[in-house]
Amino acid sequence: MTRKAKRLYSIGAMFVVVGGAMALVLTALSSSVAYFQSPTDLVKNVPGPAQRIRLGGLVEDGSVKRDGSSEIFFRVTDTVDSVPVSYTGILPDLFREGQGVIAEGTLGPDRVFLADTVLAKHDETYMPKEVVDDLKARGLWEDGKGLVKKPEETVSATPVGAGS
Amino acid sequence: MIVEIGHFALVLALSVALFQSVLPLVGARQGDQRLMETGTIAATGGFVLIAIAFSALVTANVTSDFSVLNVFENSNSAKPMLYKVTGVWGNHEGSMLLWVLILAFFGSLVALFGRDLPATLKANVLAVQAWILAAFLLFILLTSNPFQRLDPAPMEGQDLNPVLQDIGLAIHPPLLYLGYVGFSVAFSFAIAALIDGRIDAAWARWVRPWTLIAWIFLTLGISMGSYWAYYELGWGGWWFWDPVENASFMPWLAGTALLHSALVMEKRSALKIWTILLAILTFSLSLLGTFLVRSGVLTSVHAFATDPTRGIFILCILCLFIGGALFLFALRASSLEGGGLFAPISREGALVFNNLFLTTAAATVLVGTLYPLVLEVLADKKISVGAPFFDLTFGPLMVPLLFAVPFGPLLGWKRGDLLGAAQRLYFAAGCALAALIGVLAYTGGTRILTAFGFALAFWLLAGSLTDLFLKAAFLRTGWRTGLSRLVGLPRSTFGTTLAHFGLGVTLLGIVSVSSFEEELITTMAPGQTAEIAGYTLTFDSIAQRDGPNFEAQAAQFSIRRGGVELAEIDTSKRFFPVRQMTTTESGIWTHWFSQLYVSLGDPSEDRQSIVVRIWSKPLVTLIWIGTIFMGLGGVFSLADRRLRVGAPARNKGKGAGTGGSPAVGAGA
Amino acid sequence: MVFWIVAAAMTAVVTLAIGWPLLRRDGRGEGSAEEHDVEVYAAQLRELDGDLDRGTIAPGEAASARAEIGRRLLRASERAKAATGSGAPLAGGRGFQRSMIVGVVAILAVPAIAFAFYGSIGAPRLPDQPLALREQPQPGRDDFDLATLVDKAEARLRTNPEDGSGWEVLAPIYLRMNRPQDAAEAFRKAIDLNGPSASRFGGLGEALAEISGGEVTGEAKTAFERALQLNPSYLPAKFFLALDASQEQRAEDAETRWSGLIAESPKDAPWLRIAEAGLADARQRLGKPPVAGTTTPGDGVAAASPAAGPDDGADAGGAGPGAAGGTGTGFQGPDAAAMAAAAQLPEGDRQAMIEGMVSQLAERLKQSPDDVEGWKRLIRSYTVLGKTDEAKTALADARKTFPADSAAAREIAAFADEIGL
Repeated sequence: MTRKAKRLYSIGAMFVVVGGAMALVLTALSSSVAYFQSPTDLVKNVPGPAQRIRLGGLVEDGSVKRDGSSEIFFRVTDTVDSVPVSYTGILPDLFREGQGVIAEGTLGPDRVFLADTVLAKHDETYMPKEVVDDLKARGLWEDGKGLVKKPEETVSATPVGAGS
Repeated sequence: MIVEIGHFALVLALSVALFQSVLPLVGARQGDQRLMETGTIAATGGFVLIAIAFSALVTANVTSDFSVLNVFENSNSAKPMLYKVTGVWGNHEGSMLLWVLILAFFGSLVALFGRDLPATLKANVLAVQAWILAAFLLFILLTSNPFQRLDPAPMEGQDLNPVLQDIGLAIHPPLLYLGYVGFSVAFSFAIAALIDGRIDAAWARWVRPWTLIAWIFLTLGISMGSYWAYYELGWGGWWFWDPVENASFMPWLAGTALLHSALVMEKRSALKIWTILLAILTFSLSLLGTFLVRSGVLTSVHAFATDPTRGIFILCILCLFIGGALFLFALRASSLEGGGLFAPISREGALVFNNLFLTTAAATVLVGTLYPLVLEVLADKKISVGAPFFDLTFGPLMVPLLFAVPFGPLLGWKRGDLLGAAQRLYFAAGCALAALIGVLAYTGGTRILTAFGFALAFWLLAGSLTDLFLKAAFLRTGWRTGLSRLVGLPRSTFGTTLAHFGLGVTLLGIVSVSSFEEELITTMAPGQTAEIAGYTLTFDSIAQRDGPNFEAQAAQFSIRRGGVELAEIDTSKRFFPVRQMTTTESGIWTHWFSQLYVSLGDPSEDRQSIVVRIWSKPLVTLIWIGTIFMGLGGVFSLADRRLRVGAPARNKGKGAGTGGSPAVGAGA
Repeated sequence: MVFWIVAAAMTAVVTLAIGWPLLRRDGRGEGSAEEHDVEVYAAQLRELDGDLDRGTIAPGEAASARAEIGRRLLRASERAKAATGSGAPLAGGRGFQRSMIVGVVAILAVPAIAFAFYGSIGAPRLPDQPLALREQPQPGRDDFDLATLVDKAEARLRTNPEDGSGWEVLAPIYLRMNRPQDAAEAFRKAIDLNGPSASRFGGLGEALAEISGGEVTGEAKTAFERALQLNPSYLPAKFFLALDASQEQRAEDAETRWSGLIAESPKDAPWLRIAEAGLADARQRLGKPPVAGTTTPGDGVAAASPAAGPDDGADAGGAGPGAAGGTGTGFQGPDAAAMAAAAQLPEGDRQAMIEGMVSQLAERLKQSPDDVEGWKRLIRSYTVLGKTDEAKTALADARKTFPADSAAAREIAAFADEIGL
C-alpha cells in the first residue's frame, strides 16, 4: 500500500466513524429528547402521545392523593393552569405540596400526564431551574421574593380528572 | 488567628504563583538556570502555603468557628466529627480550595520528581502549571473566598446538605479532583512543548505516567460517585447521564484516549501532534466539567450555589486557557516534527482506532450535555437530554471499540498480522459463543440483544487474558516455564490485561443489571411479605431511631429463600431538622456479586403501611469491581520501572549509568 | 500583633526560599535538552533488549525497532554535540545582570502583592471564635461586647437605615441599656419596616413606659393594646396593662387583669410576684379578702422591692416605682433576664437604682407639677426609702403647687395623713 492510499484509508475510516456518530446524534436528538413544558403549554397545545415531555411547575396544594397502592396522583400547576399527573413509584424526598417539581413522561389520552420520573428540587432553598425560569418569564416569580402569586389562588381550567 | 493565617497563606500562595508563572519562563527563554530553578521552590512553597490555608479551614470546621461564613453556612455543632471534616469540601468554596490544593500538589510533584527532566521543559511546565494555579486562586479569593468572616459569630450553623452527609462524600470529590486536576500536568507538558517549539524525547515518557495517575484517580472517583448515588439517592440507579456525571465522564474518555496515544508516542514517536492536542482537550474537558458543576449552569446536588459572577469568572478562565492553548497549538503544530510511520493494521493502528472511537464518544457526550444549554441560550427552548439519547449514540459507538479491544495488544508494532491475531483469539471467541448460546437458551431465545451483550463481555474477559497467556507462552514451554515467564513479564503487560479485563467485568455487570433487573413497588405493613427474584422479603418492623442530627424511621426486613432466613436489611428515612430535609438510606443485601435493594417511600394516609420499592440487581457489584480492576491495571502500569526517564550521565562513563539509568535498564 | 509576626515570618521564609537560586553564581544548565534525548533513546534500546530476552517481542520486530531507535539516537547525539560545541549560552555578563534584575523585582513583588491584597480583603484583627470559646461565659467582657456590638450595629444602620431586622435586633438592647428614647425609636422603625407584631408593639410600650419613669402613659397603653390585638396571649402586654390599671386605681379592672395574667403565666414566670402583689392590692381596695394560696402581698413585694415594703399600701400608685425597682434595670417587668440580673444586684446598687428612679420622678414633677398621682408617688417613695425630710419637702412642694381648696390639695392632704406625715 502506498503512503497516499494509507492516508486515504485512515481519512475514510475517520469519516465513517464521525459521520456515523453524527447521524446517530441527530436521530437521537430528534427522537429521544424531552421538551420542557409548563401546565399552560400542555393545556393549550396537546402533544402527540409518544412525545416525551418534562412537565414543570408547583405541586398544587391539597392535590396529592394515594389510593392505597403505590400509585400516586397529584396536580402540577403554574398558578394559571394545572395538569393532573399519575405516577407509580417512590417520590423523591423533597416532594411536597406547594413546592417545585418536574415530572417526565407522556400525556395520556385522557389528558392525565403519565410520569415515569418525578424530580423535586434538591433542597429547601432551590427550585428546579426550569420551573423558576418559566414562572419568572410569566411574572409569577421574582428573584429574592419567590412566588408572587400563591398557588391557592389558582383557578383551575380543567376539571379534576385525577381519580379517573 | 488561625483562620486569618490561613487566609493570608492563601493570598501569599497567589503571590508566589504569579511569581512562578513568570520567572521560570524568563529563565527558560534566556537559558538562565537560576531563574528556572526558582520554579521548583516556588511550586513546593505554593503547595505548602495552600496546605496551610486548607488546614486552617479544616480547623475552623472542626472547632465550629461560625465566625467563618463558609463554616456557618455549611456546618453545625451537632454534626458528627467525620462530616465536619469532609464537609470542608462539601460546599462550593471548600471544594474549590481542595481543587487548588490538589493542583498545587501536582505542581510540587513535578518539581520534586522532575529532577531528571530537561531544565527548560521543567521550567516551562511549572510556569504553565502556575498560570492555572494563579487563575483559580484569583477566582477563589475574589468570588468564593472560604475565609469570609462574620462578626459577631452566630451561635449555630446552618448544617450541611444531608444528602452530602455520607462517607461517600469523604472519598468521592477528592478522588475526582485528583483525576481532573491530574490532567493539568499533561496539559502543562503539552503547552510547554508548544512554547519551546520542540518535543523532547523525555516528553513522551513523562506524559504517560502523569496521565496514568490522573486516570486512575478519575476512574475510581467516577466509580465511587456512581456507587454513592446508587445507595444514597435511593433510586437504585448507578448512572443517570446527569450533566454532572457527564462532566466527569468526558475527561475520562479523552484521558483514556490520551493514555493510549501517549503509548504510541512513547514507543514509536508517532502521533506526537495528536497527543499534544489530546492532552489539551482532556484538560479542557476537565475545566469544562469544573465550569459546568461550579457555575450553577446546571442545577443539581453538585451545584452548591448559583452566583452569576462565579460562572462568568470560570467561563473567562475556561476561554482563556482552552482558547489560548488551541491558538498556540494552531500556531506551532505545523513546526513540530512528525513521527514514525505505521501500517493501518498494526498496534499503532489499533490505538488510533481506539482514539477515534473514544474521542467521538466523548464528543457525543459533549453534544448531549451542552445541546440543551446552547438551545436554551439561542432558541429559548428548554429540553432535556437524558438516558435515551445516550443509549442511542454512546452505546453503538462503544460496541465496535469493545470488540476491537482484545485485538490491540496482540498486534505487532508498525506492521501487524490481523489474521494471526484473530487465530490466537479462538478461545475468547469460543467463550463468547458459549455465552451467547447459554443466554439464548436461558431466556428461550427472546433476549437476543442481551445475549450479544453477554457474548461481548465474555469476549473481553477471555480476550484480555489471552494476551497474558500467550506472552507467558504456556502452550509452547509448558506450565512451569510458563509460570516463571509470567512472573517475569513487564508490569505494564499486567496493567493492560487487568484494565481490559476490568472493562469486561464492568460490561458484564451493566448488561446483567440492565437485562435481568427486577423491580417491585408495593405498599407493605409490618408482617407482610413480598416476593422478588425467588426471595421472600418480610417487613418485620418499623421504629423510630434518631441520630445525632437527624430523626429516622428505620424499617427492618428479613430475606428468606425456601423458608431459610438468609439476611436482614435495615433501611430508613432520615429527617434533618436544621435543613428541613429528608434523605433515604437504602437497605442493601449483597449475595455474591448480586444485590437486593430496598428503599422506603412515604407512609400511606392511615399510616398503617408504607410504600416500599424493592429491586433485585443481579451481578450489579461487578460494575464497580470492574473499575477497581481498571484502577489496579493503571497502578501496575505505573509501577513499571521502564517508564522512568533517564538523565544524561554527565560526569561518569555512559556505560555505568547514573541517575535514572539503572532504573531504566533494570527491565532486563 | 501575633498574627502580623506570623504572617511576616511566613512571607520572609517563602521570599527567601524562592530567591535562593538567584544567589548562585553559575547560571549555566546542567545538560542540554539534546543530551536528555540521547539518554532517553539509549534507555529505550536497553528496554528493547530486555523485551527480546523475555520473548515478549518477536526478533524481527525487535530488529526493526532497534534500527529505528538507533537512527533517532544517532541524530540526537549529533545534535547534542553541536549544542555543546557552540558553548554555554547566555551564562555570564549582561545576561547575568539582566536576569538578576528581573529576579529581584519579581521577588520583591511577592511580599508586596501578598500584603496589599490581604490588606484589602482580610480581617487581621478578628480573632478565631470556635464554638468552645464562645460557649464559655466571659465575666466582665459582656458589657464591653454589648457596647461594641451596638456601635457596630448603629454604624451599619446609618449606612442602611432600611434594614428592618437591624432595628429589630437593636431595639431590645437599647431597652436593656437604659436608653428608652432610642429603644422607642428603634421599635417604631422596626414596626415601619418589618410590619406590626406583638413583640414589636410590646417593646415599644415598654420603652414608652420607661421614658415616663415607669408610668404606663396613654401612648404606651395604645402600644400594648395593639400588641394584644396582634397576639391575644402576649403576656408582657397583659402585665403592663394590668399595671396601668393598678396605677390608675381602676381596682376592678386591675383585679381581673392581674388574676387573668396569673392564670395564664407559667409557674416560674418572673413577674408573678408583682402580679400577685398587684392582685392583692386591688382586692384590698375592693374590700375582698386576699386570694388563698398566694403569698401575702407585703412579703411578696418586700422580697422583690424595698420600696413597697413597710406599707403594702392602700395606694396602688406606689406599685409603679416599686415594680420598677424590683425589676432592676429600669422598667422591664416581664424580661426574665433583667429580673435575674436585678435579683443578683448587690443591695447598694439596687438602692441606688431606685433612688435614681425617684429623683427622675422628682425632676419631672418640677417641670410639670400638675400631677397629683406623681406627687403622691414621690412622697410615698421618699417615705419608703426612709428619707422623711425629703418626703416632707415634697409634700410642701405639692401643697404649694395646688390651690389650697382644690380637690387635688385635699387629696394630697388626705394622703399625707394616711401615711402619717
